[in-house]
Amino acid sequence: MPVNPDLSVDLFNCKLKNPTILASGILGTTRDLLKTVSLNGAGAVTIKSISKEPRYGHPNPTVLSFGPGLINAVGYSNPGIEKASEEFCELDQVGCPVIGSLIGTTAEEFIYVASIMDKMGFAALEVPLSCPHTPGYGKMGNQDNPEEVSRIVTAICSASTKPLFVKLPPLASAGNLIEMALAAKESGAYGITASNTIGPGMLIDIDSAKPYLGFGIGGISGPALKPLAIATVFELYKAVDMPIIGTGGVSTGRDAVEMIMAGATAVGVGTAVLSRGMSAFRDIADEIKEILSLRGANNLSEVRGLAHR
Amino acid sequence: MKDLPRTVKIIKRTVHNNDNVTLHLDAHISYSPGQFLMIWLPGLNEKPFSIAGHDSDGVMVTVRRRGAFSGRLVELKEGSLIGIRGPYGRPFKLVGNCCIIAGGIGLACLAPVADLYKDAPILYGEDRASSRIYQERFPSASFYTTDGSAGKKGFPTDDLESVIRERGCDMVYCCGPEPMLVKTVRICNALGVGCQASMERYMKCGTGVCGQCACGQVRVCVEGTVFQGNELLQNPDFGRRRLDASGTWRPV
Ligand SMILES: Cc1cc2nc3c(=O)[nH]c(=O)nc-3n(C[C@H](O)[C@H](O)[C@H](O)COP(=O)(O)OP(=O)(O)OC[C@H]3O[C@@H](n4cnc5c(N)ncnc54)[C@H](O)[C@@H]3O)c2cc1C
Ligand SMILES: Cc1cc2nc3c(=O)[nH]c(=O)nc-3n(C[C@H](O)[C@H](O)[C@H](O)COP(=O)(O)O)c2cc1C
Ligand code: FES
Repeated sequence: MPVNPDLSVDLFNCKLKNPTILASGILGTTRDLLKTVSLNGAGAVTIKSISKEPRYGHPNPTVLSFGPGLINAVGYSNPGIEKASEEFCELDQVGCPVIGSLIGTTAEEFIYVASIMDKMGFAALEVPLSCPHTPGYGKMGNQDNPEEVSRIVTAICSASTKPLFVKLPPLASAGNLIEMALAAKESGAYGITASNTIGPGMLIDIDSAKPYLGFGIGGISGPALKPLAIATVFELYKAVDMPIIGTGGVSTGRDAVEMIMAGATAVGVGTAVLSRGMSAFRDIADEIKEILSLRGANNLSEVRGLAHR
Repeated sequence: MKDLPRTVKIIKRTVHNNDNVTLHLDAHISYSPGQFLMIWLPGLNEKPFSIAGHDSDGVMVTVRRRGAFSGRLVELKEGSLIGIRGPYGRPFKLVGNCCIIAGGIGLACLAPVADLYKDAPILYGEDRASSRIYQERFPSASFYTTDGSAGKKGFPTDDLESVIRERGCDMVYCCGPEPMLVKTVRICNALGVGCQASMERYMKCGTGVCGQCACGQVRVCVEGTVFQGNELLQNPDFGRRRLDASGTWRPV
């Protein structure tokens, strides 16, 4: 029986020491915080999404824990690509591969941001086209359909040669999920991140009769999202031959192995930073190792997609 | 893990002056000195406020009028409802033989420490006399004003070294504008005296998720707001820069 399973993952020309990847929008505001996440064991990290111009986002409350997960409407606050290109320099210091997340509302904006990110030290890029709560972007920008996916991926790939992940909504909120993934692939994307939060969702304070979130509606992440995200990865793995970063409610090694058995190459970890603390990455990796060891598996390839066989 | 704002009533207001009001909340909260609450005004915003103490009715916060949000808070009437979540943040480690040094509304954060150690000297500064809070609560505080309109003209840090030497303090507790924290931490470091300072950064989630309160490699809302002086001296952003609501660096 193998005592020391290999957790490494080959993805976008990098070798990740384990499959945990910090999801975009959680802690990815500064290079120093990415360093902290890396020191806590992440295999790779994703920066918070960056637009062409600075954005202040929605009023608070923007992130609330409601029990089975988080509801958030941060609204893509970010300093804009000019400041971000100063912040996310010398990325070797981070200690693991860094993924650059970019957002835009027009092909011109995507090209502008992508051409700058192309010259930065990112190992790969990621473009979310599935945010449920920010006007102009994702669902509220009508970007979650195959035509827009093609247009946006084509634009980004014209400006950057870095491997590009397209971040899609959960299957439960996207009847055209597979068409979007196929469109992404045909237009030059390298992989899929699945999934974003599911939404729009809303919670109302019955004393004030007002929604809790400053923006009213938001996206749901964490354990509440997990079954929806697993099903999304399962369907994508069947339909498209691309690496998948399985994201949504991964907070234990068991969750991660479930995601990988559904077909994920690596797993995104976001909300678990709240439930398990900064050490979530190392803890999840250790738990995956233990599970593989008990199964007698030497590496992740031996369990990847196993739920399909 | 459910941690949504809960509604509490303002049962009493203590008006210190035009711009500073203490709100007594109908909320019994188990907290440690130095921790903060996120206060929510439905439909407006939600921001961090230090727990400024408690009595048999519940906890209190002291609000200084600055912009739209604090301006609305100080105007709220008795009986009004607000949302709160928390307490959050790493609190002060309590050491008895101490000295307390505060700038402006930073005194609110230190007040629970002062309540605990009644004979600890308090050095407290304001820009002008009319901003003074807690005159009755801490009547023996040494008061400083920048413009000399009351108390001693100057800054509370002017006398910190002599107070530490006279009293032989083991610990200095500090909260206020960042230049004052820097000065205090340096003085304590030079004298070999322990120091804990509570820091402010822009906060959204207050629970370590959003990254808005980044300072060096730590999150002020979780690893802080209270830091040891030597941790701060090693933090490259301390005394230098903070993120604004967009995530753009601004000088402190
Ligand atoms: C841990 C902590 C404890 C605090 N305790 C108190 C207290 O006990 N009493 C008190 O009066 N104030 C306290 N504050 C400040 C308070 O949270 C507000 O920032 C302040 O009231 C100004 O908000 P405003 O909307 O009225 O003014 P604005 O004009 O909107 O803001 C003025 C300045 O306040 C700061 N600020 C605004 N929003 C935030 C935010 N969400 N988080 C952090 N800083 C912000 C920014 O530097 C801004 O430039 C505390 C802040 C922190 C971080
Ligand atoms: C507070 C918060 C902010 C987020 N911001 C972004 C973002 O800027 N860009 C993005 O692509 N996804 C963003 N997401 C979605 C996450 O990257 C992730 O897809 C989702 O939270 C599901 O993973 P989890 O259950 O592990 O958190 C955000 C999620 C949260 C909770
Ligand atoms: S305020 Fe969100 S991480 Fe500190």
